[in-house]
Amino acid sequence: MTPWDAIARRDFTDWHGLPADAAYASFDDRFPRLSDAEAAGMLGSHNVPARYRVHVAEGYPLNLQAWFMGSRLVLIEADVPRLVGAPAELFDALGPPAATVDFTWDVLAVPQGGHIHPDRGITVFVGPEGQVLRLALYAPTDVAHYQTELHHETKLTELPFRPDTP
Amino acid sequence: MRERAYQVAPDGRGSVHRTGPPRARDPGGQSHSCDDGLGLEPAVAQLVQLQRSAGNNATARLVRSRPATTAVVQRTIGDGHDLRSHRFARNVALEATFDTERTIRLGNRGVHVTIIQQALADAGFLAPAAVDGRFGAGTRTAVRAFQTAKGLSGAAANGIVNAATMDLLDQHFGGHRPERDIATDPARGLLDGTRPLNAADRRALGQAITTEQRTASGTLPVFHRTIAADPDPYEVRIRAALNAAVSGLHHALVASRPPRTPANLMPGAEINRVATKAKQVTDAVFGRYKTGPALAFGVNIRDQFDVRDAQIAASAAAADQAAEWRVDKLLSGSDGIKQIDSEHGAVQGRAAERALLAPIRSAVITARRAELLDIHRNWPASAGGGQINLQRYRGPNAASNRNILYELFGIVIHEYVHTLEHPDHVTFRNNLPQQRGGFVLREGMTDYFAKLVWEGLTFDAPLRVLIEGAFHDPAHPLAHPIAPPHRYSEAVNAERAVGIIGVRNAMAAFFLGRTDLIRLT
Repeated sequence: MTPWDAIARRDFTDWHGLPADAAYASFDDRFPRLSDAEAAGMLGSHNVPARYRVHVAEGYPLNLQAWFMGSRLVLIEADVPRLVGAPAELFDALGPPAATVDFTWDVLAVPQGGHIHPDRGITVFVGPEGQVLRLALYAPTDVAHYQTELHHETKLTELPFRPDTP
Repeated sequence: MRERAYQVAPDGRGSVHRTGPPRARDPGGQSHSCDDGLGLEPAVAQLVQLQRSAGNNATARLVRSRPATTAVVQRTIGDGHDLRSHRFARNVALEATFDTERTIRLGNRGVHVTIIQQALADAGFLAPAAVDGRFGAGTRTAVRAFQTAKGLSGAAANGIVNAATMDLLDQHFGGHRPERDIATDPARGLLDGTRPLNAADRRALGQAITTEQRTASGTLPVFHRTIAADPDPYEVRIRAALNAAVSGLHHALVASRPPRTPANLMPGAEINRVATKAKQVTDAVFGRYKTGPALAFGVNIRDQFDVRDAQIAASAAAADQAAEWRVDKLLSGSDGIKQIDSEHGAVQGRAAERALLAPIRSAVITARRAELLDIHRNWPASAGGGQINLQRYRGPNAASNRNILYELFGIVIHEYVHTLEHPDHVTFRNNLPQQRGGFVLREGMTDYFAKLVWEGLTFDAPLRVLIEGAFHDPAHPLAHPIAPPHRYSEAVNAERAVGIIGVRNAMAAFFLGRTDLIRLT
C-alpha cells in the first residue's frame, strides 16, 4: 500500500512515513485541491517557513493540509480524521511512542497528547478519551528533527469581542 | 510624602491619582534630581508649597473654591484632560506637562525625555541616534523646530515642552501618520534610524510590555474581600458578573444570530474579496518590509463554527474542557471582572482568591455548559499558525451586513500582519512569560501595526463599494458609519513601547527579526 493509498483508506496501521524525497506534485495529482491558493506558515520550534495547500479527501471533514518546501512535500496534517478502524488498532500497530509532548488543539491544552513515532513518520494527537484528534504525517526522522523542523503549532488565540460594540 | 494610589483600569491601563508633590510623580525612578523645580510653572510651585504646609485635601478644597486656579492643580490621569496618543498617555511627567503642572526642558532627564526625543525622531525633527533620555541643546533645537513647523513663533517656539507643545505632539501622533510615513518612505533603508537601546530604555520597555497587575511600588496588591464601595463581598460580585457575562455573550453571539442555513452564510468568494483588499492595504504600509501569501477561504481562512463544531463532536472531554476554558477566559479577561478584581485588589492566581473563585467556576461550568459551548462555536474569530478562523453569518439587514464586512476587513488586516512576523521575533516573544511581554509582543504589537494600517485608510466610495459588495447603498455611498475594529488592550502597551524604542526598532524586530533592537536585558 502506497502512502497515498493509506491516506485515501484512512488506515495508518501499516504507515511507514512519506518517502524522504516525496514530491508535492505527486500528492497533488492524487488528491484534489480545495483551492489553488497556497498559504504560508512556520514549522517546528525553529520556525521554519513553509507553504501549504488544502486538499480534499473522503473521511477528512476538515480536509488535508499539505505542507511543502520548494517542490518537496514535508508534512501532511489532518484534523479529526475518520479512521477506518478503532484508534486502539492504530495505537497497537504503532507501538509505544518515542516521545509524548503537550499540544494545544485550537485553544485547548492536551497534556502529553502528542504521540511522536518518528521512525514511522507519524505523530498522533490523542484526545483525553483516547480518540485521534489530529494526525501529522512526514518522512521517517528522529524526535528532535520532528520537533524543531516539522511540528506545526496549532495553538490559536481568540480575537477580542465586546458585545456592546456594533 | 504621601503615597500614590495605583489602579488598573478595565482596559488594563493604569489610573494614577496624584496626591504627592511633583517630585514623586515618575514611577520606576523616571524622575531625577535635575528636574526639581525646573519644570514647574510658578503657580504650581506655589500650590505645591501650600500642599506641603496645609496638606493635600485642604489645598484641593481651597482650589475648588477658586475656579480660576483649578486648571493647574491635582489633575488626575483619567480626569478627561489626558493625552490621547498611547505613546504618551499615562506617563505621569508627560500628563503633568499636558496639565500645565510642569514643563520639560533643558537639563531634564528620564524616560519622559526619551519618549519626547523618540517622538521628535519619529516625526523627523531629531536624529534617532540622539535619543538618550537627556534633554540637551540638540533636543531643545529639535523641539524648537517642531514648534516652528506647527506654526508657533516668538516666545512660543522656545524649545521647552509645555502644555501647548505636548498637545501638538499628541495630535501629531494621533492618527499614526508619522509611523506610516517611516514605514513607506522609499528612500529609507529598512534599518536606517534604528538605534541600540541603553539600559534605561530596556528597563522602560520591559515595564511598558508588562501587563501584570502591580501596585505603584511593584508589589502585588492587598486583597480585600469586602470594600466600602460595594455591599457585596468579592465572590458574590464575581458570581453575578460571570453569569452576566455568559448571558451577554450568548445573546450577542448565539441568540441574536440568524439560523445557520446556507442563505444566511457569507460565500467564500465574498470573504476572499475582502481579504484580498485587506492584504493589499497592509502591503501598502509594510510591503517594503515583508509581504505574505494570499488569503483564501478554505485554505488559510476557515469557518470557525465548522471547525469548533467538529472539535466538540469529536470528544466529549474536549467539549468539557472547552466549557471550562470559556469560564476561565471570562474570569481572567472580562472587563467587568477585571474591574472587580482591581477594586478588591484581587489576584486570581493567589490562594485566597482562588479558594473563593473555585466553587463559582464549577457551578457556572455545570449549570451553563450548553450555553458556553454555543459561545465557543460562535466566537467571532480566532487565529494562529497562519490560520484565520471566522464566522460567516450574514446579518438581518444591509446595514448589519456592512458592519460584518468591515469587521471582517479589520480582522483580516490583523491576522495578515501576524503572517508577516519574522520567525526570530516569534522565538523571542515565545521566550517571554505571557504577562511580561509575551502576549504584548504577539497580539499587542500585531494589533498596533494593524491599527497603523486601519487609521491610514480613507473609506471613500471605491473602498466602500469593494468592502460592502452587494450591500453597498449607491444612494448613500458614504453614509454607513464604520466602527473601528476591536483591539486587544495590549495594543496600548505595544504603542507605549514604541514610544520608547521608536517605530523603526519595532518594525525591524517584528518584520526583519532584529530582536536585538528590542532586547530587554
